Amino acid sequence: MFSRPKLQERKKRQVNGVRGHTKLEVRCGKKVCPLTYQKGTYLGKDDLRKPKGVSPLPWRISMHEYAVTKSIIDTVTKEAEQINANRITVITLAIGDLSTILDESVQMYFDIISEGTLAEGAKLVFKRIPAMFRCRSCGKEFPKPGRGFDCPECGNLGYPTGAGKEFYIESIEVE
Amino acid sequence: MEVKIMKNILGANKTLAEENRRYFKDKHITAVNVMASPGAGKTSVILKLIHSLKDEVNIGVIEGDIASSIDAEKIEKLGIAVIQVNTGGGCHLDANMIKASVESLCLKSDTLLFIENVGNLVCPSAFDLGEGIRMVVASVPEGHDKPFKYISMFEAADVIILNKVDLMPYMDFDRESFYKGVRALNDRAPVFEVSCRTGQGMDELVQWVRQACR
Ligand SMILES: Nc1nc2c(ncn2[C@@H]2O[C@H](COP(=O)(O)OP(=O)(O)OP(=O)(O)O)[C@@H](O)[C@H]2O)c(=O)[nH]1
Ligand SMILES: [Mg+2]
Ligand SMILES: [Zn+2]
Repeated sequence: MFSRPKLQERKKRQVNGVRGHTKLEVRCGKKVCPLTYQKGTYLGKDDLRKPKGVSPLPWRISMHEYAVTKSIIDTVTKEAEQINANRITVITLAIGDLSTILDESVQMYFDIISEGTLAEGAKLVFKRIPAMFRCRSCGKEFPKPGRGFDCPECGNLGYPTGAGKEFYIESIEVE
Repeated sequence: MEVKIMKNILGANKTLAEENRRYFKDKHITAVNVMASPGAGKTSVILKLIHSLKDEVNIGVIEGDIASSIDAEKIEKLGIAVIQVNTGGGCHLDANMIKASVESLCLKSDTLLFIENVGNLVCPSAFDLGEGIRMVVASVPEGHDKPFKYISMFEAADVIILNKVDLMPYMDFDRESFYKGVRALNDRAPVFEVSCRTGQGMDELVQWVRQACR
């Protein structure tokens, strides 16, 4: 019987990864599969390998959030190093509703990738910013309706104002 | 202690994209980022455009795909320089992949470079590749409501293609609603209604791409 390794064990194995590589593991059904990402290269088919003998379906990881999370960690650790901080405790992200990430997924990758960096253990705060539209006729600003882009005042078409597209790291708290 | 950062999360990608953009400009390469949902007709449109333009201009293709070389093989058959990028599960191409691909393609100056992105109406819109033209392919069977759901994709398009119009009689595609959504988001991109099956509307599209290469 294959038993689920405890998170601790999994983390330990990542730390012992080859130098220059980030070693990650993802759970695929009952198996824990290695996932390797070579630093400084792109995520091509040779960087990410689906382990043999794993059926494709449970191997449902979102590369998008992985790439995004990697980028967040690289940026904040560089900033923290510059001011000689010992560790990062909070990372505040401003994310517009029109941008394309899932908070939970970023958090999941964060817990894995931040291991051994200044950002390890930091709390991620997601500031969600609603998508706003402006009416082309009467100029009224309104939050994106559930369906369509019609102005609630006059019924004419609105266009996105730009609010809702935010995708940046606002601040960090360091010790 | 709190430290303000105010940096775009995808800033590293943006920097690389700008490098690509400069490279394309210096070499007079017109890079077209072709984006659409799976099966909308990205490869079909690229093949049609290659047929019409290959005697006038150098053409190169970067084929992005999750895991296969099917599309790249179709292009290769036409004797066009093509490179396959398998993202191995990744939902989009990024600027780094394009940089690496362009280096190994050894493109000549004055080239029309098609980049077929991974079939997806969401993620590719967030990753600038350094392209000169963002081409979005919608298709009749997908339905007319796509602009209302995939806002960033349609908003940032430089040209929009509505493919598979030959299927219009069999579908309940509401043209008016489609255009309403597109125009709310984007009032500058031309929309070309085409059929890669019958060739309908292709001449106008070819003419537009020809102009864009100048
Ligand atoms: N009826 C009809 N079928 C079309 C048309 N254009 C493409 N197709 C068909 O639609 C299917 C998908 O076309 P592709 O060009 O492979 O689409 P794609 O967007 O490149 O697909 P992926 O790369 O897999 O995401 C193929 O079977 C094409 O023959 C069209 O104008 N009319
Ligand atoms: Mg294709
Ligand atoms: Zn109004």
